[in-house]
Amino acid sequence: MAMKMGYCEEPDKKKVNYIAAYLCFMTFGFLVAINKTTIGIVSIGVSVFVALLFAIAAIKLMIWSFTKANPDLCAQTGGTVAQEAVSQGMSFMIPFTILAVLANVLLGWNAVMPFASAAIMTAGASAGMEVTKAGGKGIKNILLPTLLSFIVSTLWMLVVGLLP
Amino acid sequence: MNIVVQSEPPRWKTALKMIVNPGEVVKKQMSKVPWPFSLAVSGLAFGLFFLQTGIDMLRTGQIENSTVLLISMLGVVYGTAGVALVAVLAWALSQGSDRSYDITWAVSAFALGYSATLVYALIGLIFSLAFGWKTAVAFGVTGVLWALRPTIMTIRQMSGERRGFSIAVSTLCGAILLFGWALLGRFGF
Repeated sequence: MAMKMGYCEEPDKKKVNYIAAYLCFMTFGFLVAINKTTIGIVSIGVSVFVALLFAIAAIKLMIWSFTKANPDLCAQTGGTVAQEAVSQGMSFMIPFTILAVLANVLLGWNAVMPFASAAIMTAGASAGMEVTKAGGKGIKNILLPTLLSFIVSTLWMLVVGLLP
Repeated sequence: MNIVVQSEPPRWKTALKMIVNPGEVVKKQMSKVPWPFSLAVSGLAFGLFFLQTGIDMLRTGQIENSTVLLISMLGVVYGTAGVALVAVLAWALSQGSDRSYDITWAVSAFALGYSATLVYALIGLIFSLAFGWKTAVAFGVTGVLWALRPTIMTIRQMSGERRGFSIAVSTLCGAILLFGWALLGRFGF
């Protein structure tokens, strides 16, 4: 491995990518909007935008919680372990998103939020597992993201009910 | 000389742990769980899920009592034979044998993943019988979705930690089981 003397190892930015998470959240936001009784461009736009805000909030909250729960590990890696874990964990939302789209399009189900809720909880717990794999210790790395995911998904469900 | 005997955790605890931390169960504890126990979990889970579907349809006058029983039995078959077949499919696609995972391990891990479905089905049945709610979609489908996480972890383990592959195959497996249930309602029931 090439080393630069006197420099900290640069974080591998390629491993950190939240595009999948943003797309999944936005897809759920879109599905929620098109299943309302009145469909409009504005309501779809608002729903997708709110979903994006929840995506950003979920990602930031999880990174923050992993950093706080594993200060030594994050100090060793320059904080990238939490970002990588959340990035990888969030990709596990993809199966739920695809199933939600298929259920909506092929079967005409309008129950989007159970898919979204399960997706967020799975993403959080999977991120916790990635932290554990990287050296994080304790069940807190599983329970904390699960709890945060539960809060985010519940809040999102409440907000969805209030949207136009 | 003191001999320390390390007792194995009860199987029901392993089943519940599969809901909270499937990654660890799949990695460390699956070899201790016999496949008939796991299939009993998934069979019962789908049996109760289909029973709720039948009760929902009975309430809307679509079917009769005897058909509810038939649907429940079909659920047990779906949860045992159906889950086992999907597990074999995932095992074959993942080339699990190359990583020393045999078919019985795959079936056992796959089926035990439906412990979350069983918990949801039990709670749903209570709400259905006590309050007369339609619970098949709210509790049943949610329960099946919750089983997707252990499925992902199992496929990931079998495929040698291939994340993208495990996402694709678990989507396929989830779609087969979920839409298989949905299609049953369109073909005759």
